[in-house]
Amino acid sequence: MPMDRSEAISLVESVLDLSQADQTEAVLIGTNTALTRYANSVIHQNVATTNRELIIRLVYGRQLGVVRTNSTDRAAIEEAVGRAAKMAKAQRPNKDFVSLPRGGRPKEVPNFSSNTQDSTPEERAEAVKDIVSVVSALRGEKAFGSLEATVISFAVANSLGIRAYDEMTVGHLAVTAIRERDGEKGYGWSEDLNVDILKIDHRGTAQKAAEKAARSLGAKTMEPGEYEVILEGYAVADMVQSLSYITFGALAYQEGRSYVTGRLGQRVTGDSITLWDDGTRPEGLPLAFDAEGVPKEKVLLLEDGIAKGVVYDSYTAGREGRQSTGHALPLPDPTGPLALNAFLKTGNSSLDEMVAETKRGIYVTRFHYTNAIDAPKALITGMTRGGTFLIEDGEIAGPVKNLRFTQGLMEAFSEASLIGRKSKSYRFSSWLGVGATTVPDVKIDAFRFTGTTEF
Amino acid sequence: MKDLCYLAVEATLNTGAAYADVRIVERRVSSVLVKNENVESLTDSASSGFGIRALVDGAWGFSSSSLIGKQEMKRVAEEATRIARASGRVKRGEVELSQLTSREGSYRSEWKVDPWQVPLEEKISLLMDAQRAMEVDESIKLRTANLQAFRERWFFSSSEGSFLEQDILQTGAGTEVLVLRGGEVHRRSYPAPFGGNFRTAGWEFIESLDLVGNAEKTARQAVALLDAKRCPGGKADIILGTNQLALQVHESCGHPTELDRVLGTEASYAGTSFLSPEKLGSFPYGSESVNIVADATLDGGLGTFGYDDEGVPAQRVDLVRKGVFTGYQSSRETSVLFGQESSGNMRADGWSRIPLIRMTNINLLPGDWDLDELVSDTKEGIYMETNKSWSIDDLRLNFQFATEIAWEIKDGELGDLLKYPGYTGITYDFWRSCDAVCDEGHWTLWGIPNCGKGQPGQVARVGHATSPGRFRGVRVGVA
Repeated sequence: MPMDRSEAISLVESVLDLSQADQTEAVLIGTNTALTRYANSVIHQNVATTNRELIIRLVYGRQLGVVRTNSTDRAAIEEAVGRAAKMAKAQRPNKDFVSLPRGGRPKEVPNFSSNTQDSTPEERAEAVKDIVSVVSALRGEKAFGSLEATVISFAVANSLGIRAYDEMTVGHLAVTAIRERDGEKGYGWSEDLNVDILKIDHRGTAQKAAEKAARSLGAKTMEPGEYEVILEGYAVADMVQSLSYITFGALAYQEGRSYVTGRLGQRVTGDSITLWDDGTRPEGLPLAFDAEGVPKEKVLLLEDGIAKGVVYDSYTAGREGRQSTGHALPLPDPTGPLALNAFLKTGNSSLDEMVAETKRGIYVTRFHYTNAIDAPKALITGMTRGGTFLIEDGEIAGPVKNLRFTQGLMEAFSEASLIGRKSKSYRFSSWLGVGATTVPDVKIDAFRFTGTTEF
Repeated sequence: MKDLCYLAVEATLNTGAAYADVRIVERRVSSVLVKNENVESLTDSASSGFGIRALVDGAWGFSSSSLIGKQEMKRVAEEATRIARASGRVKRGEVELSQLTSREGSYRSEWKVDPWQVPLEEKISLLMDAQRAMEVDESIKLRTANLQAFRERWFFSSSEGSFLEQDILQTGAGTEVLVLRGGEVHRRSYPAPFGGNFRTAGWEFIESLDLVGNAEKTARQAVALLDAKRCPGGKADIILGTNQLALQVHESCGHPTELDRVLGTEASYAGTSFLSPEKLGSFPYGSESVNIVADATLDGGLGTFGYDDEGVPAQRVDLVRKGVFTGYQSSRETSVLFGQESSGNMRADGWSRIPLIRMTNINLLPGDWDLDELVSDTKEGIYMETNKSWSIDDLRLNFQFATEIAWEIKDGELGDLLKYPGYTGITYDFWRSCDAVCDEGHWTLWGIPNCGKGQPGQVARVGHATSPGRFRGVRVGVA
């Protein structure tokens, strides 16, 4: 559950007071999540949860032990510190560990809204009623989705002087509209994200999903093959998030699992692609520091198509004798540091212009169930979803059944010919969903579809 | 705990709920991860709390908290009821629940050695020895060994009069090696990818895996992949090993037979299902060789328990019988729509999440083939083993899988090693092409501890027992 600064800092400092370790770190994560799910135009799941978790990391020399608990009374903290100490002492020295971070002073970022904090189940139900009403206005349409209001507070303290506290909110709406006619279904998707739940355009989001569902009826089967594609931001964000996982984290980079291992400084995509991570920008869901309390740095990942860098936490940074960039996740963390707030540089086009520029291609709303086939090659497979259309002679010719793609992401970005002039933030569902990927729509001239499905 | 459970239920009824249930859950997870010579992660996590479901005027509300105590239970009870009333603002009909006999009972999974009683030094030594045994070639870049123990104590009470207790202990372990040469990277894992294999059992299961004894073979196979031929493209007869077939069952039968997906309640997130209600009892899902059950009673499965999170006793139900789609995984709320009782598939990810329809142990029943005979009976084909990646559309029709390793089959014998194996298809076409399933002697139980579903996100621990199977004319080599 969220705490104010003094309560939270006092609690994490109590861990430092109790510890006899050479270095000690305490992370407190409080969450209040309220989420209203609706399907078939009724609310079917409506939940709230309150939790407070403490993560304690003790370091003796190069021996580390981590304990995570959601009991935060004095006795429980004493027990947890004792357990972490016992674990650390049973450890073998980790030769790659250098030190916990020393950190710096995080920026103030605009990431909190009392409207989201005070969101009530009645208000969310009324918003869903509106969404259902907008979607139902087109005959035979049903609404499905979720509306979320989350408050998260973070406090980090370590024995090297780090004291960090922040409280953030997340408002998120997802709408799927399904239109049925003669036993056939058309699907439409839209979503919106804002730290202030009242700034979410729930009617507009519902309208977009409903219109797309209506246009999706009567989908025809396309032959798999290589096509020009126009990717809405949802699909572009999916690609960028895949790259965050498999390419731009220092752990994957150091272990040789990343496409950019051995390629920093080399061209890996077309020169229109510049990608960076910046967790302090007001767009999306900013958070000024990471799970080690280190201020988030802006990290250039790709610049004009050249691989420039990856993101670090203190462990991976220590291996290379450098400083953390502020991208640690809470422990235990098998993923390693993650670019949670990636930005793709905008261009000077628009969706309408991209369609007009396309002789024959596929318009993709979003992707579904993408997964790496060969992570070091950034080779991904996945499906289209939520509205897929054929473009012919510069116009949307009609809906098509969803397609499977199997595509190298760097090769895809090398074929990016038009990039939207506006970008939008899309939620990154990793680590409590506190990240967001901010991207424009993109046209890619060659994209490989390898299969099709029946809807 | 019993008094607290009763208090929570009573408090929820007092706020106006027609039905209420509470779960108090205490969970503990211990994990050790070794990479090369370093213990990279040594973690012990504990989480406890309670969750209350309230049904008010035919609509659901759920609230949960980590603070287990009388005052907080009253607050959460009020919140669950308030949320249910808000849900009622956007409803058409009223939720009904299928019949369930109220009962008192307890269940404790079986184990011989409590993993928390095994000295940490012994766990670390085991993993260190395993990773060292994989150091067989300079192309090996990364040697990983890990183990995990999971324990959950659970207390359930409902306004229908049930009080149940459950204590489940699970363990798992595995190794993985990554080889790198000239920009080419291959992974080989034992006994399964993504952390290894998991069972409802104690430390004795981890010992039985013999991580050290299998490490060298695992590593040498990874090295051999560097010089292997590439898996050819086109149509081929394939034999899938048990681990890959487990994931195939998971994605293409487990998820589409979840009745909440079928009824559309996951449509915006995980997706729906091609197995719509009019297909029940008649749709030819697969060949006559295909028999699939959901079995929460199977010894040692990761989806084995005494009661689900609605208090429904564990059971076994047919999903596919002789190739015909015959059953769903259901809840009390969904089964009543079909005039049936729940199949006992409601499971929640700890105290803070609402129960959803989740897999238990979804098993492909054994056939009557010996694996050697099956290979001998295959003139030309490919034998694929150990899942590497997976993807399937949101109705669970078009899938694509990659495996870590494969072997050519020529004239009824395993031949050359193949790298980058993979296959794709449409679910029912694929299962209809199954003409052989191996016998009980090859039947292997796999535990998958990371099945995701729901919003907020939930992770379920599920099981799959399979024997190798043969599939004719499958499209391979797509990657």
